[in-house]
Amino acid sequence: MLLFRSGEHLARWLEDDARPRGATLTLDQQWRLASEWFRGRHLPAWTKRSPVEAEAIFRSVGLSGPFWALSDHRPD
Amino acid sequence: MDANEVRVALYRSFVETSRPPMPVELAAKFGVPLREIETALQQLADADVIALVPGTSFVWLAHPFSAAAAPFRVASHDQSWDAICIWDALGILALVGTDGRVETACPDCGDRLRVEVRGGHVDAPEPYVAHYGVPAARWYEDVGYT
Repeated sequence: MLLFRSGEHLARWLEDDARPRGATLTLDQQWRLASEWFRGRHLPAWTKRSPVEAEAIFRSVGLSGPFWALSDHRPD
Repeated sequence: MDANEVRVALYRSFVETSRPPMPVELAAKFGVPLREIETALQQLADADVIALVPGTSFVWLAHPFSAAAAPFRVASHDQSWDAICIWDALGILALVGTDGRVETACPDCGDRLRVEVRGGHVDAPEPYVAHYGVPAARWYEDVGYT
């Protein structure tokens, strides 16, 4: 989960070592994801999210599709 | 004492002191044998709630916090932390609930990157982009690489 100066810098870095392109987020998306994801993480009542709950958080910041899928990979 | 109480103590230490307590410190805090703390820490690690330094009971990661020096430096007005990725770095400021900044370097050009968080909003001088190379379903195969 790296941060690049721009999309062009990312593209060059991927191309330099033939790395596959994963998913990209804007800084605003990343901030909203981090804020929601770590909300209350330090509190006694926190519990680990289920894959379905995690996917709902991803969708709330505009992240969906196979890259962000979790619930299909873990049986209930 | 249960594993969740140990987890809360870990996070309180990171928030207040920027570092995790050592297992022996936790044993003293809870008044239990060291092996009980080590068991609780391993339970947390097995559940992917924290990560331990390999072969030890020392905490390496309690997301979003890193106990070791890492590529992302996070700072508030009076404290600093380390984070292993941009998600964790911003997560520290969100969890602690403070304005601050994140500093790292662009993996392509090496230029310093600086992100500011003020009043619940994030800002940067250029259109920075976060890249996730590993699909979500595989994140915990190697949490350090991810």
